[in-house]
Amino acid sequence: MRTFVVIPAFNEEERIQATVTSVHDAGQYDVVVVDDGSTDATASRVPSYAALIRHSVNRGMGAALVTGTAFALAHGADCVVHFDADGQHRAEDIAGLLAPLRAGTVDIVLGSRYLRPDSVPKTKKYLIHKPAIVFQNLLTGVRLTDAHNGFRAMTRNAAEKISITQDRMAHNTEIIQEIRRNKLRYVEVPVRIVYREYGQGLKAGVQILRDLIVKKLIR
Amino acid sequence: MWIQVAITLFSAFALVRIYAQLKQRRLSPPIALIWMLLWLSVIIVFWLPGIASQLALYVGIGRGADLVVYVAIIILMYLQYRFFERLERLHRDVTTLTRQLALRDGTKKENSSDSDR
Repeated sequence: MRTFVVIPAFNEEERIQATVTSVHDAGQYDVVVVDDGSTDATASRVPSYAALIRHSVNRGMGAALVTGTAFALAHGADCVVHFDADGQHRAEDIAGLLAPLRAGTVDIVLGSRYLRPDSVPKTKKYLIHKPAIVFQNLLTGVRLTDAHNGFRAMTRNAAEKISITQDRMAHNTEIIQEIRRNKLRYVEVPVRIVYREYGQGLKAGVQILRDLIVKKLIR
Repeated sequence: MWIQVAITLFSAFALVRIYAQLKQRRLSPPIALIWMLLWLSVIIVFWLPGIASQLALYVGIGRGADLVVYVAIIILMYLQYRFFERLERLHRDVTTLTRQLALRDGTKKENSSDSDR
């Protein structure tokens, strides 16, 4: 099974090399970095064994994932993994995400922080994540234990069916909606998120809400 | 009186611009017609305010000026929506274009990636 790991990157010159190397060392994966219009040296720090595709202007993480996934599908991917560039995801968890796909029991596997006890700081858990999970479950009708951690793996079939129109962070919720719309079989597996000082705060949450509402109103 | 003259001059300027845009095919005839009717109605209402008052009474609004304000707000809100919609569409188009360019041009390391496998 040929697996492509898609890594969208925006101004990640400090971490992209370590992230790509960790994925490359973790298994037989094709690595695709989508440089989403970075203004720093991100592109030049991508190791030569990874494919590099570049957005000439910044279009957002959702848009970069779509580009990377399209590239992977065009180059014969059987499975596609979405992976963060900033070091929050651990490459050793990829195998755990791929296992249910290899067994053929599901179409998409979602990483969950909450299937692993005490892996999330309490303030983040109760003030940000839990309300977001409740909102997402209500909006999508899919019951999940986590929201917006962005670590997922899917079969070629699922990647072809899932349509992402949200360029920014709301694509995470959109993917869950697509799981339901396409009646895809899914499962959550435990992953560990390595917390950085920054991350999605309240402002990002408001932006996600705004994007989801605009989509409902306009599209 | 001077406000009526000023508004008429401005409306005339707007009408000339709409006509020029229509001639250059930058506006479709139905849209140009809507804009022309709008500016003509501005001139009529400013010179013959009684018409607005009669219309206001007809639709159950107290004053002609109120009717003008209500209609203006509705038109402005609709235009705002249209601009917003167009901006969102523009964003989507830019993303599509960026993606196509990226997939066409940005695969310089693709061969080395494949050869590693």
